[in-house]
Amino acid sequence: MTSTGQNFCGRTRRDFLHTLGGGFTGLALTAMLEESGFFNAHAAEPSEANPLSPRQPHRAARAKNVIFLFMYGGPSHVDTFDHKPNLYPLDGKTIAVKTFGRGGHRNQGRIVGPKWQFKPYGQSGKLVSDLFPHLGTCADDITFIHSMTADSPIHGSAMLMMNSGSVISGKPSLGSWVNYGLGTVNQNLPGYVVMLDKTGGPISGAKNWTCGYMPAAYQGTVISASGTPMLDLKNSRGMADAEQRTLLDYLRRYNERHMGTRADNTALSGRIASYELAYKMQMSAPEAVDLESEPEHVKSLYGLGKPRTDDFGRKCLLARRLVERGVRFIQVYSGGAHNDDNWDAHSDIVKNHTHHAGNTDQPIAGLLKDLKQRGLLDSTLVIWGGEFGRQPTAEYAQGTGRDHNAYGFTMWMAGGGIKGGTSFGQTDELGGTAVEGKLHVRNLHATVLHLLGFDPNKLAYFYGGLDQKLVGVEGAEPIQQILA
Amino acid sequence: MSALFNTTLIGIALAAEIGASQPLAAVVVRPDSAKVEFFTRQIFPLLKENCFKCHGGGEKLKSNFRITSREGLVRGGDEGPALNLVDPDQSRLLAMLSYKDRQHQMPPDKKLSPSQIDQLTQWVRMGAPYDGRLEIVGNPNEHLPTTTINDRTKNYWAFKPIVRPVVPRVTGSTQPKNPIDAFINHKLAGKNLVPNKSATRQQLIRRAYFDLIGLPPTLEEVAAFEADKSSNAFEKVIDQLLARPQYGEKWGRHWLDLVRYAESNGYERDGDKPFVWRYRDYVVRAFNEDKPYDRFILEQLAGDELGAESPDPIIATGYYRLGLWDDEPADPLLARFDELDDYVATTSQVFLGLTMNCARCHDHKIDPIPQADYYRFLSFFADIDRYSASRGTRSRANLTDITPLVHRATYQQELDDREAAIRQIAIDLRRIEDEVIKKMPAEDRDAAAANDREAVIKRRFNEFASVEQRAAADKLKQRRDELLKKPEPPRDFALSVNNCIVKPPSVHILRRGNPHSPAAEVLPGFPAIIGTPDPVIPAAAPGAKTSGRRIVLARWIASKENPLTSRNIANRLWQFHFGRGIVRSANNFGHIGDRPSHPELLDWLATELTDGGWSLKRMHKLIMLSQTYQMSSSASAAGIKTDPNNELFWKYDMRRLSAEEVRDSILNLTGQLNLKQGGPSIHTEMPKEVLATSSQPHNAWGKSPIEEQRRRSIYIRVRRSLPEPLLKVFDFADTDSSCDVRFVTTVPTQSLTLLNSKFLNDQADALAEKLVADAPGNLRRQVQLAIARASNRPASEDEIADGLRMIGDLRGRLKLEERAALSRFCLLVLNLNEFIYLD
Repeated sequence: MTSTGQNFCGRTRRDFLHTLGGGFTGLALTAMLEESGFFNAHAAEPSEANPLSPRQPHRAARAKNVIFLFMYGGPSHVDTFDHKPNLYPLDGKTIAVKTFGRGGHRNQGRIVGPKWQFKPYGQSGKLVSDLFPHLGTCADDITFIHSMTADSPIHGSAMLMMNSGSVISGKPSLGSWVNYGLGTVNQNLPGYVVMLDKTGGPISGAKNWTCGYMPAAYQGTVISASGTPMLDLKNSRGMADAEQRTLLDYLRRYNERHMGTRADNTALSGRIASYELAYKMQMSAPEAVDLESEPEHVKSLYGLGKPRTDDFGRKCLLARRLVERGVRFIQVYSGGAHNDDNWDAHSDIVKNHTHHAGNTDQPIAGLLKDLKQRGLLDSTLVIWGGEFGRQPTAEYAQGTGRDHNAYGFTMWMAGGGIKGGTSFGQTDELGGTAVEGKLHVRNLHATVLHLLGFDPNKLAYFYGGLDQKLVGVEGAEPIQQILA
Repeated sequence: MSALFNTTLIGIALAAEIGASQPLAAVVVRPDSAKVEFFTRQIFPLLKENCFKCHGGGEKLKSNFRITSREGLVRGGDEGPALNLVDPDQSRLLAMLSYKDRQHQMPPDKKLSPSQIDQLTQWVRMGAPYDGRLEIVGNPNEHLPTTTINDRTKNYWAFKPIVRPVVPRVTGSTQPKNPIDAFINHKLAGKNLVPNKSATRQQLIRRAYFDLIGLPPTLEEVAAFEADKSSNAFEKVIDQLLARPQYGEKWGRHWLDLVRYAESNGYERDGDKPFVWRYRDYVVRAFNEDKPYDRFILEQLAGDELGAESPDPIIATGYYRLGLWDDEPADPLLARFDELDDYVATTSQVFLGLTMNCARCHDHKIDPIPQADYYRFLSFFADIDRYSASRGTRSRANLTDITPLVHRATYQQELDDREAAIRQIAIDLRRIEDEVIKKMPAEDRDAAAANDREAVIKRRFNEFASVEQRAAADKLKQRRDELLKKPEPPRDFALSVNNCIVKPPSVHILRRGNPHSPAAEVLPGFPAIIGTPDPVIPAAAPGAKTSGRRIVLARWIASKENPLTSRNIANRLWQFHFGRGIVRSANNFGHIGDRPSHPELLDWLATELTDGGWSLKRMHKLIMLSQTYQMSSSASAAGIKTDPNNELFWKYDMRRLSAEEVRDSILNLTGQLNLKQGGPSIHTEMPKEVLATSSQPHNAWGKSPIEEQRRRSIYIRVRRSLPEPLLKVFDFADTDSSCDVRFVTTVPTQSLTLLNSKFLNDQADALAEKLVADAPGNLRRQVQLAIARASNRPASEDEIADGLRMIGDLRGRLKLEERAALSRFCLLVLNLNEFIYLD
């Protein structure tokens, strides 16, 4: 702690230690923090002056950055990556199968056969549906997790679960935990950014990238891959740089004069410094989002310039540029708003998934290939998936729409310490329920934290009388079998 | 045991509770120096490296075992004494270190080397001598469990009855006039510290204005106070501030943070809470009327059971309806208990400073709150029906007609008849639909049975219904539409609890908190640690609309005898005047919370509060008239050296303005602030980038007339999924649970907002316009006024010169028009540290 000024969040040093380390061994943490200059006066510590100073994780990390490609609405696993040959001939037949979706608990349903054929790709021979001809070629870099489960098959609570580990609103999101645990190495950019679909945000909006009970500094910053990247990054009056610089120089004079007799208050000097950081952010962020500086072959790798893929392609390309600039956690949404504006295919799976997969297949493949050829994939963890999957059965008596399914669905991960060319876990032969290697969203979160160098069961934040953890009081182990 | 004496205690170790047993028979021996040296050189580094982190060297005391002192070793931990001094080789310590005790292998990560174990064995055989200078000695009771309920745990500072403390006499000086100062100065004297000198009158009045009304004084008000030489000059300032309606807005906002006030439900639809603003206005009114705090408690927890004529107690029960509500839960029974948990968590933390919610799934891990106590506490709320039985956000359980009785009487019968008719139609219609649904395929039948009945009926009713069924349904719908179209009498509603469950279902302890696994039944009861006998719930009177349980709980909480309630609110009053509570963890007085820095002062304040009839305004005055409140915030070398964190209050802590104060002060400075009070919430101009984050960008937010947009921040709509960006970036409270202490962060995004946002640049223009109007043609005067009004003090020559230089620079070098240059200067003024910080 700095020897002067107020404490972090108005709490004591003891609480603060608790906050960061309540879950893990106090002294070891203290020693670690002292090594990292945590408690040296004026050193990098998550204080009021700078909650985002860079920090070391518990141990050496496999991944430095995370890109979470969020397929909002819930993509159907049996139509994408979880090949179920026995499901095709059952198309249209009503059979006994237990399902739980938005349409409630059921004991039987009409099978909707998968609407796409699957082809083997790469050395692994992974079967990928024809929805993803580009992504299929990256199969050898990917681990497919077929046995994911979540606590709720309803969008509202399931979104909160995938993003914050709990179906109850108010918990910090995964990116906030990363931001809190690691700080940000590039002070000129936010450490945790979110890119949304042009149709709108996901349901619950900002709750999906909230910092919950943590300070606002740890929340996700929404950025745009075109136009002004961040809220209030550009002066709303279009003030010229020279004007602003003049203003800031004089502001500093006034603020330093004010600080003269109040030098003990580090928050004042912190605030003076924050204007310089803001100024640098104004320079850095537009440079980061300037995709025009990218060569043509890179742009076309991501599908830029093509009407279907331009939008998501820009976001994926921006994600790579942000990784290069030290942004820790990047979340990109495919799909927004409601109904068929996202992957929520209740009435017509063909129309819905053709649209969303077609918009994202080439950009995502481009991202993986680009990261790989730049040597960034090893240290960048890429995650793909939605808040749940979809049922093998129809919800209504007519149509090819599928209801929600949280009993078993597919997510995949690549890079950042993940094996390539493998699959983990299985659903039953209909794709209805995870039957082998059943996992919970908490295992996914634990894996992410683990790869970033944390013990997921020890990264804790003291709030409400409890050492809160992303993996909850239940705790969770990383998925060891998929680690490289 | 003093760490200074190079002696050790040898005794027969007994793990017994201090106070419940005789002191141990002890023999003091002087160990020979060679043994101590062996300890110092060989053993101590070994223990320090391998054992200290979990057993007393840091925050942890695992298994209540302290290895950092000899007394700790002798005493042992949860498993028993660590040493066997009669037969040292049988010592538990050695069994654990050698991994022979398979349940307890220490250190758990890695077994010590054979030579290390050998050294430790030798040491234990010597009688385990310790070097007193190296000992870390803990609290004498640290190893005793805090979770059991007995005389010792009842004596914990927060649980024991409040006895009005004697005001300390401060030596060497006359007794301070205000007892608060006696408590503070007494502690300071113990550390050879002296309280800071007084703040200047200008600093003091600015502090008082922001603390009480959240707005700064005018220059004239500052000047008048500086000129007022009467002995009660400051008292007069306080009195007039407490009488202003803005006081309730400032202090009501503190309360809204605590009770998780928001105006939408969260989750997928994030639906609006109807008439929730009446609760906000009620809170503002309660503070302005100086409603006694005990009454304030009764109204919020059981206003519907008070039998009052005024609608205020009904509105107050909106307290229960402010939280999250999932309109489409995956597990409805669990959702019901989540709702009840919200009441338990909020009520116990906000009114009592207890984290009862930690005992939902198991006994509280730290505090003496058994799991049964959680469910006994929960059952007080068991008569509150769910927020709504359907996805509709208005329900018979959450709305109450609060139209004055004289009006209500004229239409009530007609309305009741009409509602009964509509209800009957719904039943008839549903019966027909059920018959039709039976004819549908299984998928549609199932969908209708779950969440999608409406969708199924809409899609397929006509297809499967017979001609007669269609005709019957049409007729019913027509009749219903006619009834619905009839004009309604003008009525006022309050978000509240209503139509409660008169005979609530039995409440059970839930195994691991799982509502599908009920265990023993429990009855309503208070936390046993406080020792109040179980209440008798009076039988509900005929026609009652509640079970009568909540009023019993409310009376217990709102009692002078309850040791938690008055301590809790006294602490909050202190917190909101000084920036931190006497107990920093204001929502958690339990063992994992912070200890009071001044326990006697806290108890004294608590008794002052209850003796003064629970008047909060009286307490503000008492606190603010203390020398402690009026101290300067400047640092002293001695203070910084001895008490850098100001634990003892040797100075007043500077503070940053809250989010609302920042925004309101800006509007105030530019002359645009609209002080209109109350009513439905307003919509500020939401940036399109923020709207785009909503799943319904076009319906997510409204647009208020420009005059309305300039009202105080407490009136801005609070939508859970769409936080107002200016307030959020300045650390507005998270609304999903009670917020007792707001963060105060300093991050570059705040600077971006204050430099670049449309709101700030509009306000800079407005300030420039006002300055030109107030001092036409006099740029120097304009600059002078801007600085003076922003800092509430006269501008210095240097400051004026800098402002003029900046404007000259912008005009000359950058060719700006005079007004534009002035506007830039105004933007600078709105960004000044002095504008955002209080001395």
